[in-house]
Formats: sequence, structure tokens, C-alpha cells
Amino acid sequence: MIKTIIAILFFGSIALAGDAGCGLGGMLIKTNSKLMQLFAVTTNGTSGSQTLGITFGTSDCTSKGLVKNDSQIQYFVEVNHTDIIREMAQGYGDKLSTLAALNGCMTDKQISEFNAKAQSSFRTIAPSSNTPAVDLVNNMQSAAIADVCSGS
Amino acid sequence: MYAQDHNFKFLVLIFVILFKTPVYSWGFSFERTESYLKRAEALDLAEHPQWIKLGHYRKIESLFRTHYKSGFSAGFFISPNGASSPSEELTGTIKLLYSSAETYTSENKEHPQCYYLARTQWLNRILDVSEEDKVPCPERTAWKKDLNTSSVSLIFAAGDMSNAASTFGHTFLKLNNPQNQGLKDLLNYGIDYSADADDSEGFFYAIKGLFGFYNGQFAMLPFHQKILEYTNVEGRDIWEYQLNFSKEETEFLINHLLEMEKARAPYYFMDENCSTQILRTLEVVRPDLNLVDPIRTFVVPIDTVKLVERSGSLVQSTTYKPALKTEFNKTYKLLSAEQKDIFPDLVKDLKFPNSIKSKFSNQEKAQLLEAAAAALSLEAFRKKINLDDQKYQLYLQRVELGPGQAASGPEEKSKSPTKSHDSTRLSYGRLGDETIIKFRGAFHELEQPHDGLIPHSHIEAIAVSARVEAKTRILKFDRFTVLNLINLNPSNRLENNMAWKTRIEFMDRFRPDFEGGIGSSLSMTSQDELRATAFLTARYTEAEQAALGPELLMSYHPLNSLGLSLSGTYFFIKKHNDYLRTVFKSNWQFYDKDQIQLDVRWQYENLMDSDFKNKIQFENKFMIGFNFIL
Repeated sequence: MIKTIIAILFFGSIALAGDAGCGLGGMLIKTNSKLMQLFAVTTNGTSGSQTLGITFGTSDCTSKGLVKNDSQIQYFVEVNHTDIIREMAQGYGDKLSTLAALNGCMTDKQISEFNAKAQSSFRTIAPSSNTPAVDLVNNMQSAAIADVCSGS
Repeated sequence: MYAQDHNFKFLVLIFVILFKTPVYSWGFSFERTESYLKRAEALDLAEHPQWIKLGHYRKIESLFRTHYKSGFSAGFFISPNGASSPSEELTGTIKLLYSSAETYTSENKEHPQCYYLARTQWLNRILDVSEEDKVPCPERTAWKKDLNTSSVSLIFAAGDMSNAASTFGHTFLKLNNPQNQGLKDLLNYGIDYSADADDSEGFFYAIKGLFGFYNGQFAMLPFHQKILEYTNVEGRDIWEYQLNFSKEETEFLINHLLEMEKARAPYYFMDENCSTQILRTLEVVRPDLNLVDPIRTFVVPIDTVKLVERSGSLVQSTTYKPALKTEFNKTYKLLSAEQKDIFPDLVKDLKFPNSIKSKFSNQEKAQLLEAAAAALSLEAFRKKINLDDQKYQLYLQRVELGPGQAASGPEEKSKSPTKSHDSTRLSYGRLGDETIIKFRGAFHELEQPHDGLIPHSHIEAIAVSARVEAKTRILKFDRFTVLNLINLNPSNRLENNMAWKTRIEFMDRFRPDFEGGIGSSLSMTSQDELRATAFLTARYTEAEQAALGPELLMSYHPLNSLGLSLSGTYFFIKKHNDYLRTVFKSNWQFYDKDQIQLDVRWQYENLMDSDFKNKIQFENKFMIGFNFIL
């Protein structure tokens, strides 16, 4: 309950600041307890429950159940926030490479350059331990790490 | 000029009205609809395999009649009796699809043909429907174009190492967009069939799930979001089986999933679960597949993946995505002894001890910092606590060391879960001088080959055995196992895990034999062939009443085809003398092709009286068993 209130206040304040991101609530993950897993051995987790497709409404980052093209980066970073910061610090990883691909990197060389630049700009991109996803994305833009892939 | 422009606009308007709106309002004719109905009857389409699969019907054959039943109760059938009558549903569908101009009003913007896409696609073809009766669905077409699916994969989330009960796994589908090939694979969409369950309801969650009080529905999320919980929190590896559906088959599958959007069915944990509906969906695409046998009452997700793989030509390739925990275990294993020595301190103090700083190369330090950050991430996920500050301190140190790369070492032998033995087992053998027959519903015994499964685990549910009495030659009920679980999650220097077991069995005349224990388990060899576990074990039987005592259990798998276990338990009993129980069990799979195995079990229960010879029980059991998918 407290978590929910904090999340609402937190994201509410960001919304007022005019840049709400996708509002995925930092992906408060719902897991089955061990005891429940015992019984519900075959149940799929229903975190972020969302029905299929087309009649689903439109939100900041999604339209009819699909992530909008111009929101792919924001959405991906919000969902995978903690993994991306960790991979950025070490300069490699699946999710960091996915992010490189989303920024237009294609060849292996471009991707490793992107990853290395993300690592060397770590303090700029994630200036504190709790840098929100919206800031991460903005800081990545200011740090111009995607420039290594723009081919210019 | 102005007037001309005005006229032109007017013409455009007329044009739009003529060619857009009217299609829906005057395209249908009563005669043609009648002719479709007649054709459907002549072709016996109500019993056509494609129609049966499209309705997710089960065929129920009894002595007197054959009838059909679909699990879906809401949001899917057109006819009021649709769920139990494929023919009424077919009539209702044809009438609705091809003569329902009036239902296309402003508030219901979608024509039924655009909702029932797969039904329409199939009926259009098989009934040779006139072009005049076909409705364009621009909104759906645009959506499908955005989704852009060219192939489909079956995803299996394997068991979580720390929880034996999760071995059954989860299944769902992934829709592959050709633009997301390679690195962007995570951006594809996953579709599962899940319950709208709320596990905060505690015990009622299990009860409601068993008796179908929750609603099941299809749901879609980006793949990276869908698997986050599995790969990070629950430590489940992800296996992907790419299916070789053609472009047309893939489109038909998407059409069908779209028409299931509002469909709801009672969700039963045991049979009408995620796996069943995913299999039925694959059957819609290939009606000649028979993946869901009508008599099957208990569907284990891993079995369904095996069925798909064994169906012949369905699986094209297999790929694997390790969980964070699997990756961490691999990284940790590759650390040197010196690195491992300081690792716990690094995780605790978040910095290298001063004395040790110069000892390691930058690369070795980077490995340590990465492993420590992964360990903290796992702890944060596991305990649901925030360790961001702690991790951040490690990150800042790691960044200073510059680029690195994933630790590479000998490839871990990760066996596809489909290579595990089948879950149902029938065995026959001798118990002392009697003949014994045993049937096990599911799933795996401690001594059985554990490739592709959680090593050193035991998950037995619903097993019955009967024996033929030596003298009277009468078949007698022997034992009924409701549940028997042994979870030997090992502890190590980094984490203390609890090992536990629970067994609920009934002997003849429904005399209970219950046992439970908690303890700690250690992996004794580098390849994990041997686990030693100490339990505090409690047992309840009618004869001894409650008994309690320490137990030592060794589980040893020198080969995949050979498993051995030895346990000794000293039980203290109030009622009479204490007793010692010693059990040796082995399983040898001597014929791999049909998974035929030889089981040997010796069990001694000795009363701890003065001469130690007063056996209260001695069991000497040899059995031949074979495993299969029911």
C-alpha cells in the first residue's frame, strides 16, 4: 500500500513536471510466494496484466497494446532499468546491446563502441543510485552515446 | 476558382460516402446467406476438424452419445449454446458474419467479420463466399502490420533451481517480427494464457485455482517484460522452440488470437491451464495435430513442449536464454580460489580490502566487481529489498576499470528440458515375495535421470500401487501417494538455503503415512554429482504415532542413467522404543530409447532395543518401469 502511494506520488510528480515516461511504475514485480508456487505450479505470472491487443486503450507509450515506435527506448529502459545500469557499468550485456540496437547500432563494432561509450559516460548517465528511467534516457541523449552509430 | 474547389470537395464527399459506408449496409443478401448455410450443412462443416479446433472444443465420447464441450464461457461464442454445440455455433456464425448489416452501428464500430478474423478467413474460403459479402477491416490490418509477425516460437520457462515445485514450468508464445531479428529479439511480443488470479488471497488462491474460480484469458506483453520476472526474480532459464509455421499459418494464428481477445474460461491449475490453451491454439493452425488428448486430465507444461517437439516437423530450432542466477553461477565458478576468498568481503564491504589491492589484475578486479553486483541484484530480487546504493558503489569502481567482457569458460552442459524423462510412469516388479504394480501420474523421482530437470529433486504427485498377495493371489491396494516432494536446494558460502521435504501418503484402509522435514543441503563435488543433506524429520503413522529425529540423506548421480540414494533416520518415539530407518534406492535407465528403468529399493526399520534384531519392517523391492506421456 505504502509502495503504491509512493509510486503514485513519485510518478505523479514526474507527470506534473511534464515528462512522464511510460509510467510503468518502475515495474513493481509481483511474484508468487514459494508456497503459492507449490500449488499454482502451472500458472503464469500475471504481472502487468494486460489483455491482448487491439481493444486495449492508448497510454503514453502504448497504443492498442503495442509499444509506440517512438517510445520503444523509454519503455525498454523503464522495464529493464536495474539490468541496464548494471550492464552499463560493466560495459557489456544483452540488454545494453539491445539498447544499442534501438539507437541504430547495427554492426558488432558499432555495438561495442556504443557499450564502451555508455560505460565511460556512466557518471553522466546515472549520476546517482536512483536515477529514474526518464532521466537515464535523457542523459543518454545529452551524452550523445548513440553518435557512434549514426555513421557521421 | 473557389466554386470549382468547393465542387471538387463535394464530389470527394459523395465518392467517400458511396464507396466506404455502403459496403457494410447493402452488401449482404438473404439468399446468399441461405446458400452458405446449405453449403455448410452439405459439407458437414460443424464436425470439420478446423471448426472444432477453432472453437477450442473437446470431443467427449460416452457410451450413448458423442458431444462437444468448450472451456470458454464468455466473450467468444455467438450462439447461446455455442460452447456445447458446434453446429448451432456454426449457424449463428454464418448468419452473423454474412447478414448482419444492422449490427454494424456507430457504437459497435467493428463488423463481426473483423472480430472473428480466423473464422471468417476459413469460412470465406471453404464456403466460397462472394466478394460482395467480404468486409474490409482496415483497423485490424493496420494493427497486424504494426505487429508484423513472420514466425512464432513456443517459449518454455524452465524450473527454478530453488523450488522443486516449479519444475513443471510455464509455456507461452512469442511472435517474431523480422525487424527484431538478433539483438532486438527482446522487443518481440509474448502471448500467454493466464489466470486473472491474485495470489494475495493466500490459501484460497490454491483452492480457487484447483476448482476453476479464476478466469483465464490471453494476454500480451513485450517479451522482455514478460520474462523479466522469470529470468531475474525466479531464476528460470528460458528455452525457445521456433515453430516452422508458414507465413499463411502465422497470419491465421494471429487472426485466431485476435478473435480470442475477449474470450474467458474458468482456469484450472491442473488441466485447463496455460499449456492446454496454448496447445489448442497451435492445433487451430494445424488441425491434424492432436496435441491435447481428450482423455488427458493433468497437463504438465514440459510435456506439452515435448509433444510439440515430437509431433515431427513443428520445431525448427531451439535457443536458450540463461537466467541471471545461471549466469552468476557460471561467473562465480570461473573465479580463482584467491578471488573466491575475498568475494564475501567484497559483497559485504563493497570495496576491496586494502591489503589485497595490488594482488589482482584489473581484469580480475572487474570480474569480482561484476560478480558482486550480480550477487547483490539477485539478493535484492530475492528478498524484495532495495540495494541500489550498495550496487552503485560497486558500479563506480567497475566503471574505472574500463571495458570488459563476459567471462568465458567451458560451456555449461545445459540440457534442453525436452530431453528429460517423461512424467508418467508405470512399473511392475517384486516386493518381497509379492508382485507389485505402480502407476505414477507425475513427475520425477530423486534417483531417476535428471538431465533437463532440477538436479537432485523429487516431485511425485498422484501415484497408486497395488500388490498381489502371495498366498491368496488377491490384488490388494498398497499405497496412494498424494504428494511427495524433496527439495535439496544447496547452501554455499554466499547463501543459506533451506532444504525441505513433504510426503502425504495413505496405506490400505486409508491409514496415513505423513512425513516432513527441513534441513540443509550441500553440493559435495564440483559437477554436483553428490549432494549431502541433513534433515530434522517428523513422521506420522497410525502404528508409531508421531516420530521425530535427525536424518542424513545422500543423493548420488555418477551418470545420467544411474542414480543412487541412501538415507538414515533415527526416530524418537514416545509410545515404544526408538527405531532406525535405513533406505537405499537406485534407478538405472538401461534402455534409453523407451526410458525403461530398473529400480531397486531396500528399506530396513529396526527397533532400537537390546539386540537390534527386532525388525519392524523390511522391504526388498525390484521394479521395472517405463516412462511416458499420458
